[in-house]
Amino acid sequence: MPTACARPGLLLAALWVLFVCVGCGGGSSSVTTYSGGLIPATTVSLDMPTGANTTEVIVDGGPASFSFGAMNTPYVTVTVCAPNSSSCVTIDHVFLDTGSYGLRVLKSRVSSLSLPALTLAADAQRQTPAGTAVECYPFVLGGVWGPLARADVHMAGETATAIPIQLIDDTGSGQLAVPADCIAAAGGPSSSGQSPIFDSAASLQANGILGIGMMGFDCGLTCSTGNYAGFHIQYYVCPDQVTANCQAAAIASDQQTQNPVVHFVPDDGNPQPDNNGTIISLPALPTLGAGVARGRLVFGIGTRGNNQIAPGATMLRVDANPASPAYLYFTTTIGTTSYPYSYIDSGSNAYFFNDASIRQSCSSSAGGQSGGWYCPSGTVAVLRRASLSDAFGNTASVDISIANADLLFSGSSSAFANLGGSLGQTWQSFAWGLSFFFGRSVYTSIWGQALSTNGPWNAF
Amino acid sequence: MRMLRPCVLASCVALFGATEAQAVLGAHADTVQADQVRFQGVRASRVLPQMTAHEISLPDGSTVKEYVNASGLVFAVAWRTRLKPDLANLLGSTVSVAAAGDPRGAGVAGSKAPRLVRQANLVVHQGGRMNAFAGLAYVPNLVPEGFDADSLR
Repeated sequence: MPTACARPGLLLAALWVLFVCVGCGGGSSSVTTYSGGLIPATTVSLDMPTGANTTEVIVDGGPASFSFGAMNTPYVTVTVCAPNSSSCVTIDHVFLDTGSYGLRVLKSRVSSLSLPALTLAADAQRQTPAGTAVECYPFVLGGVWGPLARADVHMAGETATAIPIQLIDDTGSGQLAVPADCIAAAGGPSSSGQSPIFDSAASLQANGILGIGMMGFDCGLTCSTGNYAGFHIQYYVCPDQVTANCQAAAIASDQQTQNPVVHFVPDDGNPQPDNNGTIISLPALPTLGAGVARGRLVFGIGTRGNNQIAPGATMLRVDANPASPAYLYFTTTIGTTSYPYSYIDSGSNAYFFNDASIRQSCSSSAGGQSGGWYCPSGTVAVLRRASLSDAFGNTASVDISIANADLLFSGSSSAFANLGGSLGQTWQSFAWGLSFFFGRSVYTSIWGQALSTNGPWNAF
Repeated sequence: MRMLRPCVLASCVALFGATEAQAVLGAHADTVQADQVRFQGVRASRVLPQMTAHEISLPDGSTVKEYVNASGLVFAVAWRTRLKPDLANLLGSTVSVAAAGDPRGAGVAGSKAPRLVRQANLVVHQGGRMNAFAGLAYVPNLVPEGFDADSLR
């Protein structure tokens, strides 16, 4: 683990001076500079809105068992119960991810509960046995592995009853070995031979993942048919604890890992269920970030007084045609550069886009991430004016600042509104990660749910 | 980011000495048919000035494109898919491992960022969001002269 993760406790450089560059062309318009000083780690909080459909979001260094410090990673607390029971555990530091779908918690965190496994019947036609559904859920790099179970999920004053969740295998003994296909799906072993599977709070930097993105469940047609030809297998049916006996499974959409929000029923009897989307509101941050940022997660969009779409908000609809190359994306433009594969994602920890004019040679693998951050030289932050647009004529202009990641990570901050990077992509994608969420309310609609404008879209 | 190892003899053979069962980078165009069968998709082919583009479309909207140069060799593969494709089959067994960076230390929040590995003999982009994975891999010395392979989708 890089030493750059060590936290000195005090942060150099406090005074920032903003110069606005008048008449700059090409969409980039100003620079920010800062000079010396010492400031302690700060906590910045936003405590609105409140209500039975809201809960706290915290951006901090991560779960206690992860000692290196997460960067720009939002967390919520989730209560998981055996179905229709008062047998519950409350799990802190569950990673809040608008870019995935479904609740996944470390199996060890719910070991005190008797959660019923999600079982699949034998399928004579497919010649698959009866057994437990087990999922391999791969990200671009890295992935999680473990069985599905049914659980009640409580957040704020909302309850989802007996929904399928994934239990991330982290207990070592007595669990199914990860199939080779799942390791390959997650990107294969590291150069040092380590598995790419997140199987602990330390590797995950969280006690679980709450995926509240634009879908109601996490796979769809391929998993429903069980025909994974050419792809990595996502769902298995396992008749026993021997991985070799697991087979690729056909699993109906309503048995796949579920976005809990679509199943939420408000405990307070609100006339409309808060099940059609979410709003994440995070505070604006000081230029060098904050040690801890606290904000709000709101369930429902337009379902009650505290979650109406703000009058000045811009709605951006993502491409909803699965056969389109830009499926689930909108377009970002900076100057003359277009990024047609753009998306907003609380679960990406920075602005990720390729801009060859921003210096990238950071001095270390800062933040525990293996390179790729932007480090504008010295004390000059880079500003860019981006235009975000969709195929329906909706546009928004957004100014972003990219500061030197080495400087940001040199202190004790965990939350940054100006962290950016590029892991070398040149192919026109722009991930509007957590940096974008600070100082905003970001709406994420859920496709197929009742909304005044049908999803999928984001608004802010 | 972990870099590819140099192309030592064994991996060069694995990369360019394609088996008959699957199309991989550097293999003959005939193997595109094998991929179409494997994906159980519909293929559309377009003849372009310097290459032929084969697009395999799947029922869920996923697409895999394979680009063949004038010598009849697959020089690039691009994918836009709901699930992650099996890169060992699509690109060759050495590529799926080599294309990966190292996620440890990044946590799940860092695991979703797009990645690029660029070497003299191989370029692999991987990225996209959940249910809309995307990627591009090509062999630079098989790319038609003057063509910008990074522009492929």
